Amino acid sequence: MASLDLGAAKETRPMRRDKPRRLPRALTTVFWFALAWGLLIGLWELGTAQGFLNDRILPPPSETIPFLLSGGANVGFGVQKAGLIDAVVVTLGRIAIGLSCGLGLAVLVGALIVEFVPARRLFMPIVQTIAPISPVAWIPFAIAIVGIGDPAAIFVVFMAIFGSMAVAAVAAFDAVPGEYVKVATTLGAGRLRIWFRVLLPGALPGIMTMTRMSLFGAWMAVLAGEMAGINSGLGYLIMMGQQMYNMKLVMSGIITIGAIGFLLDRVMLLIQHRVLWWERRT
Amino acid sequence: MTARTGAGIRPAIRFDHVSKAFDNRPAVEDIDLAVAPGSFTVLIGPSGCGKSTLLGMSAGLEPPTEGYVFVHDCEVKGPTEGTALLFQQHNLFPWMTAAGNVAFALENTGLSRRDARGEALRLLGHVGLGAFADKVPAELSGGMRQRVALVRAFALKPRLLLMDEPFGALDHQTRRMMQAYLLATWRDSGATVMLVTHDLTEALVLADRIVLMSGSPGRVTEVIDVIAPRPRDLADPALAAICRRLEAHLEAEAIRGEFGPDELARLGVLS
Repeated sequence: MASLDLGAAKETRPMRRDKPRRLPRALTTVFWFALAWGLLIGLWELGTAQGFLNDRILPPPSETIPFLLSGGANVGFGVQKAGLIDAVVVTLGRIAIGLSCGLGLAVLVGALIVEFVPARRLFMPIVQTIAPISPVAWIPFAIAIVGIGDPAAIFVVFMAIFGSMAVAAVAAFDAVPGEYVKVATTLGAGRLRIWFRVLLPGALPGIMTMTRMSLFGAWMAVLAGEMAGINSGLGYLIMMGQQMYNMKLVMSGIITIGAIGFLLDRVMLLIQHRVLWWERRT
Repeated sequence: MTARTGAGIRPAIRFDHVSKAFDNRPAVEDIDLAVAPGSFTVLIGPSGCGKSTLLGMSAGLEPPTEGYVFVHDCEVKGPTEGTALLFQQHNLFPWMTAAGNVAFALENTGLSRRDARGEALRLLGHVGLGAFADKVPAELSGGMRQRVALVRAFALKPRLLLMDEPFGALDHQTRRMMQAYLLATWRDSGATVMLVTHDLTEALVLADRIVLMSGSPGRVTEVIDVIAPRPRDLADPALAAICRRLEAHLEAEAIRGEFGPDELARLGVLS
């Protein structure tokens, strides 16, 4: 997925520069995307039809995709019954909240670290230690503290991204050329104004990139959390599929994760272009 | 125009036995220098001789380790109103348009957003940049960027303009044009200018006074008054003589910086 994203990011610039070539280029991207997946799905279908692949473990696309689209991917019975859409909504909500909190606090802590020397000495060791902890490691702790459910999942997402985002925010602020701050100071700008009009916009490209990376981290963390005890959401759906030996359900979950992850990244790319408007105008 | 360095006038900048060290490494040592108000002073010297440090201290961005810096008879203790700063690059904020950059400075004086924008458009239009008001810096040429930066600096009517190799990144033609532009702007404003450069020609074209520095730690070696009418003709024998002096000094400094004394003895240079 990472290499695919890099390719797409590179293509966006020339596309904007010469508009006439934009449509064919976009079409080419879509064509290859469809072809690649068409081939893979075709081979999968062929493999199960010919008996190379066990269709009880790897049900063919001709069964999985209708199952996915028909809304048959349900978990539980009666009042506890939860459909695929519900699971997706639950999972996305957790990411949205966890990511927003993580981003907001990481930028705030990053700013404090950059602004105040004692804050750098005090917070930097903590942030650098939290950053490499696997989000999965927080799951038992989260469940013990806040119990099963949304708060635990949000906490896991938050812990997954906060450390690395704070470190990246500090790096982004530190990378803003010192001349900008000096110029703003001599132009009579106060410290707060320098933060909002100079340092924040100056660090925004770095912050946007780190947010896009963190989105992947959050996506992985929430699914892991849902598989490891937080009993709802898309990750839980897959676990249920395993426990009921419903491989169509498992495959549906996996396809949904891939598709939504891809779409989320596209959306982030659009937001990035919108927020960094001045970078598009060269 | 005659050199405005008359005695008895209170200096615009005065360095009083100023030393500055970074992490206990001396950058400049025992600088004693007075800059006449309304004059154009050029600091020249090898890389790392503390030219930029002197500018930074004059702007109040960093305090001296020893001694005092006075700007218009007030000790500099922080950024002072009436002092503008221009670098070689990173002057304009890339996330603001040309007008936005100028308005940013005006808003700092308490002007409302709308008034600041109106005034910014007027100032840019005044110097023929009206058509570029809504362009971001990346869409402007290097020369235009520095012109917008100058417009912004002069928008606050500074009495002191500090410039750190402002035209270093420009091509030869653009640089000459910008030098003429700067001289005209300076003449109209009556501000004091202190400019750092590596370029001898630039020093000779612009300066009332050239302050020659030597490196590690930085000291003032020589102060040369350039008394010649502007626009300057570099073929003028007096200027050519100054140029040779500067060249000899800078070459000696460069060699001293690059080679140790033993190596110099082996090479037989400066012996």
